[in-house]
Amino acid sequence: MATTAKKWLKFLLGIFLLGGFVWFLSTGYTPPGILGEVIRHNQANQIDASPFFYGDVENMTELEEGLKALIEEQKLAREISCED
Amino acid sequence: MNESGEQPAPLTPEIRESGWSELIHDEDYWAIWFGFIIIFGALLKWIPKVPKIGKWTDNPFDAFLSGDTTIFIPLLILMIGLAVMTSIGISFMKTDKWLTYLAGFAGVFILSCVAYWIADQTNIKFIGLSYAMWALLLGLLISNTIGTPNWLKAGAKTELFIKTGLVLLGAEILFKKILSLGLPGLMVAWIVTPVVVIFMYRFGVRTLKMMNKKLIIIIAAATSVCGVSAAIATSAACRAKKEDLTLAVGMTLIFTVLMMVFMPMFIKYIGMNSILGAAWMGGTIDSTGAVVAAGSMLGPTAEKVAAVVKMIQNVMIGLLAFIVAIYWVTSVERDPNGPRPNAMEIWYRFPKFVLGFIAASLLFSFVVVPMMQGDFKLVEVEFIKPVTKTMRGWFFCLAFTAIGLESNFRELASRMEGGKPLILYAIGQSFNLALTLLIAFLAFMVFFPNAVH
Repeated sequence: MATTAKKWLKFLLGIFLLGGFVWFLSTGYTPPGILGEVIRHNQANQIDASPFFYGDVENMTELEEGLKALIEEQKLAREISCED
Repeated sequence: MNESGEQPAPLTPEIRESGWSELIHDEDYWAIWFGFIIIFGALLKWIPKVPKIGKWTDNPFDAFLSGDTTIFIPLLILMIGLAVMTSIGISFMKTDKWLTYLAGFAGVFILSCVAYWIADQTNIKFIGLSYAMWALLLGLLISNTIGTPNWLKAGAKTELFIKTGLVLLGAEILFKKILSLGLPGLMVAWIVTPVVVIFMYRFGVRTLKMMNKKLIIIIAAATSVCGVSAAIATSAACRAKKEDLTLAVGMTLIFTVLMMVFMPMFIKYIGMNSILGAAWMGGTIDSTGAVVAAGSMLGPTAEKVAAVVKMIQNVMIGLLAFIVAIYWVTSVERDPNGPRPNAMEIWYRFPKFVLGFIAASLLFSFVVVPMMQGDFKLVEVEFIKPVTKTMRGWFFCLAFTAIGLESNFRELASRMEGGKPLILYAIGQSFNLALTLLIAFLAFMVFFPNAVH
């Protein structure tokens, strides 16, 4: 009986700690100075840093197509400058 | 005993003779069936959209809203649909009674919803903490305090969820993507990666003398390819234990956040060329989201370069899983005193779901995309984003919840071998950083200086 109560107490403590941790992170707190710079940048630009696979990045296609267009643009500019 | 220190599974005559019955009794095949049911459901528009928990900032209930309506009913339909589909496989595999499984599955699904709900808080997304971490933590909290009840354990089919998720992941691996940045991108992503995997594996086995080779290869894959997703694919390919995956994923999640914070700062501080820095980060930071965030710190062009280098590296995941599966079957798990396994034995031992994973990738790369006139974006908008990607996310989230529910801290601690996995990660990542910087410098500054600027 005592063991069961102890287990449930541990569980409730765990829930409390995890909940507290989630709440703390959800407030948007960022470490001061250099440590929080990337997170502040993400907040300002609404960048989701959580995806672990490229398919999960919402604007991946835009990034990929943007880069392709940039490469083409630069290639064309080089060709024009060579002709000149 | 084989060189991994484990007794190789004997090939019994029953297995040799099982043949076609494996198609309905083997978990690997069921993962393929489930994966392709969903894929064809998406292609034929039988499954138009899969619900997912949305973003929220201040009001937690916003996560369950889609427009003006709530997503509770679609989520309930998804839960019932997945439960019914997977329970058919469970009943054929005879691993559990399907009724017990259904109750357990509902519990695992609800916990997965909670994990997604936490991960979808916008400020948590900005830090880069994904659902994998929350799902693991929730499961670990239950299993290490009150203990996972048996009814819930019955629904924790980790391997089945992982394998089905991987078959679906195959649909997102489009081969043409590897040419998105031309030769320099290919050099950074595809030369460094195999070298780092081999270096880390040999370092773990020979120098650190780690006993657990499966853990070594999972850490090596996570470090050199793409973090969590590579860890999942490799662990399934070598049939690793859940605790190995938990350790590797835990390490990669922590170090990803650290690298996302410090690498752009360092690059800016020393005044490194932003394209070189972007390629360096794209090749080394484990997860794509963190790469995009870190790349964006160096400017819009750097963001694109970093993301695309990572994407090219991500495509390698299928090839890596295939090679690891073959290597494990033919070398690591082979009885050193026995004869070299013939093609039939390799086939019997080979994790078949890897074939489903590759088949899905080939189907999308060479059939679906050409059918849509080569329009990747259309394929993504029509089939991948609304169905296969979301469903893959659900299966991985279910898998991580299940892993947490079945793991305990003592077992995890016993796998630490005096901190050797951490040393392996630190040394391997340092080597990865040095080699990627060298190759990125050669690719973008020496051989192809005009590739992007």
